[in-house]
Amino acid sequence: MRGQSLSMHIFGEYIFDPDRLVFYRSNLDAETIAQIHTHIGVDNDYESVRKMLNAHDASEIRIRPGALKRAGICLTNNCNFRCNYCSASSLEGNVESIRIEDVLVFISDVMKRWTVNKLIAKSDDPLSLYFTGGGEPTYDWGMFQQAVMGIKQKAKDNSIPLSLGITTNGLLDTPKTEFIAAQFESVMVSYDGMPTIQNKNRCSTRSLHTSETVKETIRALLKENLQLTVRTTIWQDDFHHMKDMADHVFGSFGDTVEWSILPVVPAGRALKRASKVRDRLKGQDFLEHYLETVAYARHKYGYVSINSPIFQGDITSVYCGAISAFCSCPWLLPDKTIITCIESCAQKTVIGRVHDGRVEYFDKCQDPIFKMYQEKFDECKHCVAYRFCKGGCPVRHLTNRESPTEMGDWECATIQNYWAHVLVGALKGERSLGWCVVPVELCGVERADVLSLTRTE
Amino acid sequence: MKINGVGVAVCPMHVEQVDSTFIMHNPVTGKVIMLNRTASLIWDIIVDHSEKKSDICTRDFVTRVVKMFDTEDLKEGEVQEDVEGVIAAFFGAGLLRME
Repeated sequence: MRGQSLSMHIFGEYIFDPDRLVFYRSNLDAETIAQIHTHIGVDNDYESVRKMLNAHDASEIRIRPGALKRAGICLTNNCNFRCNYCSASSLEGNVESIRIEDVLVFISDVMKRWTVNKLIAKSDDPLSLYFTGGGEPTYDWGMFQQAVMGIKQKAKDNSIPLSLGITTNGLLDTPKTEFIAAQFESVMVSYDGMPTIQNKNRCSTRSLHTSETVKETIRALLKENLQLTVRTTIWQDDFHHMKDMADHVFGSFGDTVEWSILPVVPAGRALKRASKVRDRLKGQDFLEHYLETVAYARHKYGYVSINSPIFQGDITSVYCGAISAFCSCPWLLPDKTIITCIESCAQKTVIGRVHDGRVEYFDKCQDPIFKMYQEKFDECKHCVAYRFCKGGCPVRHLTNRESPTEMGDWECATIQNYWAHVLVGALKGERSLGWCVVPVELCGVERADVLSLTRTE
Repeated sequence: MKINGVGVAVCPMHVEQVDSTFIMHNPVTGKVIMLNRTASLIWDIIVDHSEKKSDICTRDFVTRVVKMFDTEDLKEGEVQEDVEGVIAAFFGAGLLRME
């Protein structure tokens, strides 16, 4: 069809047109459909984005981060936990350790690029800096504290508004928790839903049981004025515990906490187990358990915030900006290299380094993440979830492609089923996970029953 | 003001500073220019003299740059070349214009 980039999908008596985000009756004649297409233009930048992505050769791409609004720092690959699904297989004893001077050189460069954004976009939004990745950001507490205070001082000296975020395993004593509460705007604490699962999955090197200490950290942070998320990583064969986890999370922490649930990605330390029991894992339905848990928790506790990062919540032009073509969030690693995506382990895209007191961005490099992104951007366009997923996470695709667990298909199927569920619910007139349909009146087009897919929240 | 006896005007720019780096935005062309440490010093000197309406010559810039780096390895001839290059670049980038 002229101007149509994406495939249509049939839902009962309706056709879903993802280019226009509308439904209309499937028994309409060609002339009526043409009239609908004339009235409702394509609301999809697929062609322009595709052209932009394909202008680059991923085997030799020139990368120059421009204006920036955010960046990340991974201070260390060491960790005092031994989580049984850790994609980085974090241990202790890594000798690579970045110096504070190198962190501040990187941050100075980021602040300059934030200022460029401020001048061009006339935006005073704070510069967002994240501490996560590798191992545990607070592992070397002295270094972590120095880095935070050094960054804060530099931001103050240059009058740059700052927002700090951290992901932590939560094994923190009171003074450390107080420091984080005082210095950070957002904190994600990893806690696997309930004591038995937490203690099974996330043991520390000093004590097998971490649940009580981590829960204390969460309770202490809840009293502070910051954005707190409890992140639960869940093995597929633990999905049936999700409602119990909901009871424990909201029962222990109250209904204001944000609960984020992420199925295990079979990489790193998770790979061994995932390979052995892959048939059992592949047979588990995350979506069914997730939707039941959301409904259960909201019925019992009122409106509570539950989400999963594998379901992108909104229409998007691209999956994310962590590819070299956009380089929206550069990350500094302990070996002083700068990469595009903190989730990438074996297949990092290294775009620069801190060297000799300066940030150097390389003229050219290979970007396997971007290559995968280009492939999926085209390959996935016939999928019902495409307007919301745009090919999905390229790092997870790369990981799954090399993994013998065949979980890549499982994740794709889960995302497709999610969006099919959303669309079916919206079509029934429900407020369906943040979406609904609104009737559209078109002059001269009768009985087409055109419905526009719209955000409710 | 005059640089080496030639009348020069500073073009209106939005200027921000992060550490020792000036970041300039030309509101007319939309261009953004980030000055390195040496260029930032030279720009700072020019703006200072422009505000005071006082004249300056290449020798003055060279003296300040050599003092900033504070090393015996710097050859004044090379510094003079660099200073002249930076000032020419300022004209090329629209930061300065002849009066």
